[in-house]
Amino acid sequence: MRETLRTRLGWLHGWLGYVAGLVLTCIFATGSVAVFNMELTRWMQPEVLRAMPAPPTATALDAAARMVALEKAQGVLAFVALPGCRSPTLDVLHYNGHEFVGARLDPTTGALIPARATAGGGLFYNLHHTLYLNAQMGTVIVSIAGIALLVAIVSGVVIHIHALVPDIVMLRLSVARLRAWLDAHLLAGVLFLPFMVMMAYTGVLVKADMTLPGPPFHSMPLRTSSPPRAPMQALTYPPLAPLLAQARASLPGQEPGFILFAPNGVHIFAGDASSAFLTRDHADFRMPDGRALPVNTAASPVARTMQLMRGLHYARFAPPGLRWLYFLSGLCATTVMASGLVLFVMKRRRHAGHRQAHRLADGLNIAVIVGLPVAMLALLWGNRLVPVRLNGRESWETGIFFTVWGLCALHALFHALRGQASWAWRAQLGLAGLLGGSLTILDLLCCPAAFQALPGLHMAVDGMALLAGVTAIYARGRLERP
Amino acid sequence: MTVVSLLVLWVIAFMCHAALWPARYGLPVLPSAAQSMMGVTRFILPVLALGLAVEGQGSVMGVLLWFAALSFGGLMAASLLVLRGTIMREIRGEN
Amino acid sequence: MTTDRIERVARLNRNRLVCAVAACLMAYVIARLLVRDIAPMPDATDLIHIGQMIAVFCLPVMIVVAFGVWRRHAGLIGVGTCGCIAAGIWVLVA
Repeated sequence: MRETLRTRLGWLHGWLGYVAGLVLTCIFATGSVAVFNMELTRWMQPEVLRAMPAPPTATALDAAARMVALEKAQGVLAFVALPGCRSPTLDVLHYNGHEFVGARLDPTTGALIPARATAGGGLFYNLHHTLYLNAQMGTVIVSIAGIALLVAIVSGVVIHIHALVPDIVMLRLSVARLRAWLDAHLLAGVLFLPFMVMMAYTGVLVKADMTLPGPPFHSMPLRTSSPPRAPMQALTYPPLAPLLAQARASLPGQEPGFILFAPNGVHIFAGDASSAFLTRDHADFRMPDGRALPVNTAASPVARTMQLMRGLHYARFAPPGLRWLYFLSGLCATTVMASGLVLFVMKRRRHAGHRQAHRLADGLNIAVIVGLPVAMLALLWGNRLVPVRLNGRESWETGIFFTVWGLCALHALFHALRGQASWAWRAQLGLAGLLGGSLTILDLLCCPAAFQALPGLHMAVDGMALLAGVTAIYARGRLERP
Repeated sequence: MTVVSLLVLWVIAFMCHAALWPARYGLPVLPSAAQSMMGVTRFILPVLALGLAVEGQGSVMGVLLWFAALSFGGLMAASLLVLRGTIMREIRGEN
Repeated sequence: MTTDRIERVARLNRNRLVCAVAACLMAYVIARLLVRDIAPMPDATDLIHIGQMIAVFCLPVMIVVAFGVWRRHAGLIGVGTCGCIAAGIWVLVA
């Protein structure tokens, strides 16, 4: 066997791509969905019927501040998220170790909206950036996967360099199946290369303090996995409405997004949607008199660059159109990885198809490529079917997601290890088709009022589920062909 | 509107690119004058698209949209070529 | 496949695996040294960010070079030399 740069990098691309690809497919799939995390949360809380955001009134802000003080007295560090285009309610949120959860208030009256507790789109966001592990370990694993993606991209470009430009729009579906899969992998891989590089690079960079830290003594304070439970002294805050007006004036061009409460002051931060630069500029007010402290919004060019990197990765500035482009690009990048996983197994089937390791790889592919979407759809079903007033409802939803995914993985491995992987593909694709195709009916039956109040949101989520279902059924049909 | 314009420009650029590689894409061979025109168009249109995007949407949004149009325009061009290939095969099959 | 060929393929894969692990470890150490060289002071946030930007860019390239350029381990040696220079600078600065 002659060793050349191409064969060597081909080996690296294949093996590194496969091992990291299993994780990366999950990261990209959940990241794509997490682009709409707040919209998904709104879909999952059909009790919130408000369509448009309203500026919060003084009454509502004071009610929120009282709630924060109350939670603080119970040892929960809460903050206030102001209404915006994506979330029209005034939210009092805290970090529960995995995501931000809390109460939703009407921004006009300050009344508590009796919305169901839900894991919401935050589950996908959390899965995307920590794989639902603890903050540090999860982030490090995701960063390593990101670096592996960059290595796979660089090696892939070197392997494919001769045909990179001429074959840029080459897709031959009528040729042999392996060749068609390879064409699809290359087509999407080359066309979405800028997107994948941007997301991998910015994703690793924004968390680089954990993987490539600076000199010692500069350890960033990590978010603890659970909030401190010790009760703290209840505090009273000055009226927030005048502070908000002052903050708006001192943060020109930026709309306030959230309010943090510290023992010695109130900090009003610019919203992340203000610009592509995720600045986190803030106006500070001294406690207890609420006197404004000097605001510093100046940033060095390097700091601005980092703000842009964060902004580009989190895409919170993006208007709906660009958000859809992020979502679709993410799905296409997921397709690149999924097709890579399938190719890895297909290429080795003739020589190693009888081996258990090969069958295991086939089973893992099914668990990731079909099992994850099935679990995502099951979460949406769970949201509608789990009783609204159930205690620890969000944990039930999370449990449903992971249980379904686990069962899909077991089912896939069971059949794949017996050499019947195609049976598992067909069964799980059929299940995805069923869950996705009938979600609209379930949504209409369970929450007709929400569908009527927010038709765009419900049609988008149900439509995407329907599309996933139809795609799964189509793929199942293709599998049955010889 | 900008997004649609960018997409159209990129699809045309990719089609010109395919026309420059007739053997690979199973397209008819063009005369050399048409080929050089295709070459110039393939170069000009993306530059035009970049100018349009940055002018209309600002630098950050413009560049993001330009790359997105590249990706989706490429997918559309590939789909059009597949469709053309299928139709041509069917016609040949009928003959 | 003959036994001889199977053995050769197994040896090749083993070598590749060892080389890949060595390339990853070496590249990671160098990337960390790079950050320390560029930002020797703990409070130089801007320099740390510049170091991280460069390190994240260089890390995959170093892995591919160290693994891909295999003749007489030129890639590993080349990247290792860069690492020695980076370590030398770090010692000097420290």
